[in-house]
Amino acid sequence: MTKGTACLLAILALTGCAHETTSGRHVEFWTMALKPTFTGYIQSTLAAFEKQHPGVTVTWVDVPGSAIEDKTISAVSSGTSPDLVNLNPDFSQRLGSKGALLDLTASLSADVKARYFPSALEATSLDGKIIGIPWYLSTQVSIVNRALWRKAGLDRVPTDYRGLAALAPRLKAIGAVPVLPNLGDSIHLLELLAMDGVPLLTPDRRHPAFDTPVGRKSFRFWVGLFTSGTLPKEALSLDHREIIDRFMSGQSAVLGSGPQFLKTIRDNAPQLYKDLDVGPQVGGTSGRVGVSVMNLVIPTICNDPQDALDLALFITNGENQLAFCKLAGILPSVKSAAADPFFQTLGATASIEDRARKVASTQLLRSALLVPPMPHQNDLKRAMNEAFQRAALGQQSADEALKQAAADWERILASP
Amino acid sequence: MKRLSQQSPWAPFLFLAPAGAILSLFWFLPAIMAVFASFAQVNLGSSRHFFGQFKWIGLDNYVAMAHDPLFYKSLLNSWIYLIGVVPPLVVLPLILAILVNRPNRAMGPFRVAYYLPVVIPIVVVGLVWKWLYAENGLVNFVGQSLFPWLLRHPLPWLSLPETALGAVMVVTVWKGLGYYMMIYLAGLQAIPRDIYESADLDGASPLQQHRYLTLPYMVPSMGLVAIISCINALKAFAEIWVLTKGGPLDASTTTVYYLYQQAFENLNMGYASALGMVLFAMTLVFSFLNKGYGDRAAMA
Repeated sequence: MTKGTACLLAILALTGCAHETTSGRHVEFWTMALKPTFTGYIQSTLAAFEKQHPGVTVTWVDVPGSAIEDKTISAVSSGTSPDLVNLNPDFSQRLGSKGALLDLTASLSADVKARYFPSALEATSLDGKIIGIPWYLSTQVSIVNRALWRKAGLDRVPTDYRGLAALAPRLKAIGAVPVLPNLGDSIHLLELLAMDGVPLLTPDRRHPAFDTPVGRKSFRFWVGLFTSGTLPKEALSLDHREIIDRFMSGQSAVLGSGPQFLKTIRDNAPQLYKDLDVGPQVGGTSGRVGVSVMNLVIPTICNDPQDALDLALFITNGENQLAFCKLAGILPSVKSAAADPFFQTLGATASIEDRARKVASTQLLRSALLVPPMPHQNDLKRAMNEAFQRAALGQQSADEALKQAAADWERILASP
Repeated sequence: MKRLSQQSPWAPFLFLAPAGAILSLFWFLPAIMAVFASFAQVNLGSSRHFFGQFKWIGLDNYVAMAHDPLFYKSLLNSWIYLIGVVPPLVVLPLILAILVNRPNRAMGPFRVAYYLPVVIPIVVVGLVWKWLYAENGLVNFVGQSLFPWLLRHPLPWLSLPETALGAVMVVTVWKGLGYYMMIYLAGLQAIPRDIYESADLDGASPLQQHRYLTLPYMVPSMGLVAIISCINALKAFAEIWVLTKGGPLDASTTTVYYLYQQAFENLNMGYASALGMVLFAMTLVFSFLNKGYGDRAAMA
């Protein structure tokens, strides 16, 4: 939808002409970048839903990943929102905090809630209310450029960042860095702190809890990687896509990413793809492993919340999730699907994707939501990232920057 | 048979109606909504009706803006950006236009080459320049080769608060050169050739000819370019979005970018609309200048 269309819809909403179905029940379902790869799967799933729910028709709209937030904002503000949308939890939290998403807590029975991994359900919650249904999950695996590893004369890939950082001089000698963390504009810094066992908020979630000896030690470690030149300062502003680009161009030896991005490497760097290895997620001192969640949310102003919820539960049931996981390098959010032998069985000719899937699914059982939903999450994330940048660029010491971040968090958390 | 315009006094309005309707729908109405939104807290999606999402809070957004240090920083960045971008965009395209303004077919490829950045999608521009600005990129390589005394270590141009905004300005100038060059070319080709021939006969050197003939003739075009580039500089967003996302440490956050952050990242539509009103006022000044300048040029 263009800006122009969004304006048009806004005006239609103003004049009381918001879209209404003329006959029957209708659910408009938006997904994120699933066409054309998964067109067949989605269409057959929706057809099965329509068959099970006579009288309900589903319109599927696939939106590019880079546009889904803007388009969702346009749609909900103009009163023409879809009935079910695939969003990431971060954006869902922001929309939910404005009252734009339905609270599903009372609509889900205890049995239904028990189907999902608790960490996945927690990721789709806001202030204790469930505002989305977890769809698919991903845990990071370590994708290793074996050629660089051999060239540096290295053997095993460490499973923690400190071990990896210790190898930096040998990789630097061949013009590479061990790993590029995603510190651009993401929540990853908070996840890195959580991986070191740093609590972010007090149990009552009203005050920051990271300015402690453990927190300072972790923060100093990451700042030190930049001030010592182990990692280039430009890594401070790289996003995930750029980090994959750098990995594909041989600038970093290890890529921390979901297994689904192996396809990106296969398509764009086929030579590199042939010489890759995968291992468990590189972690921190606590051994905690993070999980990423994609969810399905229902806007407050949708036409038929019950049909939208039925569709969300149908799409995320064990059978449908398992079928989807077999097509994409993702993991299911329901326990029954994750228990399927598919995730643990490797054939004699297992591809790197198969091995990555096994690594990821093994991790899933001990994974946790490293950064639970927080009030004003965007502002908190921004304050921490800026504190980190100040320290990494030498404008403040690591301890001063962390103290400043704690003061900023205190102020943000106190705001209404 | 009488013409339509002679038949009815409403005829001109009939012809203007389609454009008027489109402008009203896509520009004026959203602008009026933004005025209302600037006095409200907008809870997106909380109601099916647009104004149902508004909670009227009077001047609170403007009061918050007056106490927001990031607003002042973004305002300062906008003006630094404007001052850094406009002079090169007035001077450099003129030099290029003079260079390619020759009745020579060999100039064609040069004109195309200079205009090419204008039509390259901004996302591609961002990708290319990010690689150029990388620590092991071409900018550092050339800089260290030519000025080793100045550039002792490769710099992460887009990741340092001291260099990020300047690096974005360079891209803006590079991308805009061709567009403004075309405006100058149109102006140059309107200068009568015979005055150059007379000057040649009088013994004026090429440099003197440009100093005393070309420049005075080009003053109207230069004024136009200055005003258009000022307006565009105030509205600059895409370059910042693809290169720095306003960082590091808000060093390249301009008012437009801050507005975007508030609207689409923090979902503070009311506050973003208030920022938009400030931006509107600034742009309006230059628009009036542009109109006044155009009127004077038309009368001359």
